[in-house]
Amino acid sequence: MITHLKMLLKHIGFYGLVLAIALMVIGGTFNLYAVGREPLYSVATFSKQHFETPALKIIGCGVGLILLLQFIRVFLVSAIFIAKKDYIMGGLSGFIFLVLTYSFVYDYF
Amino acid sequence: MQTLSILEFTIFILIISIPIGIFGILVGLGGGIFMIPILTFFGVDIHYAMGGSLISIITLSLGASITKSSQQYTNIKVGVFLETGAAIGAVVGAFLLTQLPVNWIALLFGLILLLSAYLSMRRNKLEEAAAAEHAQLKGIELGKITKVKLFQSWLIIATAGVLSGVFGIGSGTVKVIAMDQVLRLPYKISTATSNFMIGMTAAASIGVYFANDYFNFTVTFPVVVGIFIGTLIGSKMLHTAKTRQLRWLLVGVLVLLGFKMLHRGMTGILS
Repeated sequence: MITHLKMLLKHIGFYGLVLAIALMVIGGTFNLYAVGREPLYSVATFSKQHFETPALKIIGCGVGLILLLQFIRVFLVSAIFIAKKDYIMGGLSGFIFLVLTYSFVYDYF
Repeated sequence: MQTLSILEFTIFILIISIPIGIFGILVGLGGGIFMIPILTFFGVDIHYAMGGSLISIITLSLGASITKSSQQYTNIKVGVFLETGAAIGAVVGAFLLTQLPVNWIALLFGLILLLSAYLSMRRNKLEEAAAAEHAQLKGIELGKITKVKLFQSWLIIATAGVLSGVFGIGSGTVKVIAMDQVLRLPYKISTATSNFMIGMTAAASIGVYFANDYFNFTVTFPVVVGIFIGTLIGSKMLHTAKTRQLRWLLVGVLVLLGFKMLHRGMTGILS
């Protein structure tokens, strides 16, 4: 069980990260093709209109996947501790998972 | 800098992020402490710079976790225990960020850079005296550390979490110091454990950044990809790297960037 969880952690981490970076590279290349010649200040100043093109949405998927991987990682670390019957450490990592979740969902309450 | 095109900016940031990623892995930093001032010097809004920095920190932390050399040095129990403080601190810090004016963020960030430089310089001297101790691998077990030291380091890490939330950095410098100097963990264990922790700290505050739209994916893309490449290269160098020389370089860069940020904050360029 513990070995399986560790392997899962390793494989999800590796393939997930490679996929996320690949998505960012694809999206980033398309984005550069579309807006690469525009001056930097057209996007660098604070505005809320930066998510509208398909290329940026692909980069956004990569970013989302990176965040998801971080959540999965904390969850699996907690699961590994619990599988080892180390309930205190399992509880602490579970607590971290809850704090991460809270930071994402607080806006909806 | 105003006439720079997005393509030129992307290429430059991609190239500069690679050494920052390598450096981050070797000295236990997320790289945000370099990326944010660099991005703002190009005229990128500081909030976008901080948002991009947080994503790159998580990438660096995840990248480190999949490499064998980093796994070998990470003390997960110590990391998870201390991270509880950092995660709470990061959420508090991210809420504070929404209340702070931009100039104040730049000023405070400059001070944090100078403080980090001072702490890194101090650690250089301490390391020379304790070189033999750093030869061991996995470090000490959580149960063997006194409660007072655990509490002290937890408080330091919680403060690091607040800094992380406010400034969009991983606060790796402070985390390494808490483990290196308070818990007396070997240096490589401290840096690898810090790399394990910074991703979770960044993720704890990132929700607030998302809610406030502090992200610009055109800016985030070269930072993340560059840091990822740097992370892979840095992990290969972890066994053989001479961290002492690297840290003197770190001190020099931190002082330079610190004064630049202070100047920017005071003259109101960022507002």
